Amino acid sequence: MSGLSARLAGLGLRLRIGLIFAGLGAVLLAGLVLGLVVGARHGGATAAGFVQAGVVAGIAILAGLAGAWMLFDEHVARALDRLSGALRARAHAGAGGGFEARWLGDLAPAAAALAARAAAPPPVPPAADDSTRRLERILAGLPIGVVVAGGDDQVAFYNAQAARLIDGLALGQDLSALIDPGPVRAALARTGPGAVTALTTRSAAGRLIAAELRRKEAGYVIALRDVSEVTARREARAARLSALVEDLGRPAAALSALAELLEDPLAPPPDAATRAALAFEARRLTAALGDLADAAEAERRLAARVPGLAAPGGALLAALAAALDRVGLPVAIRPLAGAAGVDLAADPDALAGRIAALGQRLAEGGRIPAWVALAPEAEAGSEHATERGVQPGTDAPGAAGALLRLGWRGAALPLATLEGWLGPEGWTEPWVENGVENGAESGAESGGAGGGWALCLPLAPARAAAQGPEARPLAYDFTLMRRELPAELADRALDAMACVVLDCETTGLDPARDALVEIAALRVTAGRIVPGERFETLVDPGRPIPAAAQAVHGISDAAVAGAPGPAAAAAAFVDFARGAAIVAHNAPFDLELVGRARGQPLEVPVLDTVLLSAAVFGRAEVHTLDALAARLAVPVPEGRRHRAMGDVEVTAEVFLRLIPMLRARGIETFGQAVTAMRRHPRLLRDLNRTDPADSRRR
Amino acid sequence: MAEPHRHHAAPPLVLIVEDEDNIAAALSYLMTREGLRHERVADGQAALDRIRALRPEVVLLDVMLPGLSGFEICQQLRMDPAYDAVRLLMMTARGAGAERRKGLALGADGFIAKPFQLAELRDEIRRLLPPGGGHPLGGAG
Repeated sequence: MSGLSARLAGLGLRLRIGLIFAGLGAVLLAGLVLGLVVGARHGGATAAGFVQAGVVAGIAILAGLAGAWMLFDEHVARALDRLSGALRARAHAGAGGGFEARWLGDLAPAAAALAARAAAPPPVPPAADDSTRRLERILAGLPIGVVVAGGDDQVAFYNAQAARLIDGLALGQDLSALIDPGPVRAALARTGPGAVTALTTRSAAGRLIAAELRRKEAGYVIALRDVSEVTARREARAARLSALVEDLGRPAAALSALAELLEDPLAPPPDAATRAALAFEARRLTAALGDLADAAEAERRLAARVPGLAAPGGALLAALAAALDRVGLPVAIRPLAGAAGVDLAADPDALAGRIAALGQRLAEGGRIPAWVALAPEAEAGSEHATERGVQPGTDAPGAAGALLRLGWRGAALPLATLEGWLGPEGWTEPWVENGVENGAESGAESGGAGGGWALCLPLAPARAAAQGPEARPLAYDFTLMRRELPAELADRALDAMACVVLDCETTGLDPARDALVEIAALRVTAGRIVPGERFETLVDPGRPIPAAAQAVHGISDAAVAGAPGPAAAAAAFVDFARGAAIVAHNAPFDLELVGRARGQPLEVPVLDTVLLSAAVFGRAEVHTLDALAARLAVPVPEGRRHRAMGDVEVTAEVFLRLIPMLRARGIETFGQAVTAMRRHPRLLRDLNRTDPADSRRR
Repeated sequence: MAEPHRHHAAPPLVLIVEDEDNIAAALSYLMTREGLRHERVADGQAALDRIRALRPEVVLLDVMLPGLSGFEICQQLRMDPAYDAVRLLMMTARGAGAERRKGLALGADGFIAKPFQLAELRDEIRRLLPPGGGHPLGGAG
């Protein structure tokens, strides 16, 4: 009996209910037959016989129905009642009753899973707690690039600066393919675990990189600094200095010779040509000296721009007003006149503290600080510096700084007194401004002819942070460090796989004939989307895009003009996706298009969200991307569905939400997912054969 | 050479404040050639005294001076409205942008960067002199 019960429990709910009612029908028929047989045997053709038969049949039918009701009541109605009671208890009282309804198929485990999820604290991803986020921010903001690689050179960590420095850097990528591996190999060979060594290498794009490599037990950490610009700048500076020396040397030599002639008592008096030569060389010398002086000024300004210091003008002024307020000297902040957003090479609090100390000194002498102001200014001489080839960029000296002014009422401040206050350190070159309007203060109280006084401090602009075309946050997957390659792909857990989610927009729905117009992809690793690791390109299909296709994705012929062709775009995508499994919704469509564009099929591990959905929800469900997104509560980006990146984002979220549901069904590894996907081969064939209006994900 | 009380008919007076003798000699030569009266002092405090005594139309004022600096002279003069008419032409080092801004804030009327061409200096003095006045450079402003 228990064996039969176990066998029945293994059947689906619908089949079991069907069996119950089939049994009921059989019982009814059997009862009727029994009644007729008994009636015929005892009553013959008399009415009493049929009455007897009817009574017997009725009793049998009632007995059968009672049996069916008892079964239904025990295994369905009471089970549902118990289940709803348990859910209510869990929902309203937090009671932890069990969910038992073994005849109701997956309903009890599903209810138990839902209740457990509702009762559990919100899931916290491993990398999302406060301290981790703080650490991520610190590491992302490091002014040097940092890459951690495994023993096989696979990138397991990088920060934003490293991504700017090394084109194509991505988790799981082979670092040795992205920078010149020779110096790294040599450094690894000459150092033991834990030791640090310096090296220089070059990125694939030719940037000169100074690096420090620390070897770990498995793999290494490498800190990278782009020195190509610094080196180029030093070389340019040396060349400029040599040119200036030469420019000074020539007229100096000529003047020296001419002066000796003039001093020589035996020499004839200078004729017109000699006098003209003297004047010419003197002018040349003057011009060369002017150039030298301008270069020195540019260097001075550059030296004032301390790397790493960047305070917006508004923040600086607010810090100064607060610092003066703290020492009992409240001041008015004058309108910023466009300087609020200027980044200055200043530590706001330190500078505010020093200026507040000057304010106190002013007040001690009866000069009460009344206002502060900040105005942008263009530094003089920048045009000369630019003319001589100083490159604009991080260290270009021509950028504008700002002038900070601290105004007071009362007596003038003699320059000698100010210089005495500043002491030998001479931090900036402050000066005193005469005849300043004194705001609301009475002119009678002010000391200058034109009003009050102001202490003026020129502030250098901040050095712009090096920005790549796209700032990328921190990315890491330290499981990459632990992986033994070549790993047995079939055994790899789905949430530990390095995946690239792909979607293509096309000229039509026939992958064998139509062409790409857009490719987008993003990387998913360790069960989360890697921010910043995205691939997106329009593709010039080399043919007109039909109006029907344009109506779907909105990509016009004009939009793809100048975009790479299918072969180049597909090759770039393959570079991006190297080493990763491809995830796509109706993957054969996208893989066929990309493979055809590059001239050879993509032979990569593939996970298809259509088939994974079928494994979770059953083949009879609808598996379009929209239906899946709605079912899994994945937000669909407004206006971006049917653009490749919009679809990629939805597909990636769907994939990530399917993983735990697959796991609940015992599908945890890539191999198990492949087995589950293979159960639905017809699904993709049917999907790709359906009407374009509702085909695949569209 | 110079008179404390100017006559309208007399050429304008330029006070040369320069401690380098050779530069001062060249400047004196230029003033003579341009028909301007001129006097030279080589010390900061002496310069301030002579400006107060002579009230020249233009002071050619070097920044680096023994005693008071050119900036201090400028500051002290501009604190006294009695000397508003005295035009201060400061001679700054080429490439020292901060010196120009400092002088401007203190009330200087013009700048000329050393080393300079005499022609540049003549143009700058011409700009600062009051228009007309019977002097050889007058009328240009």
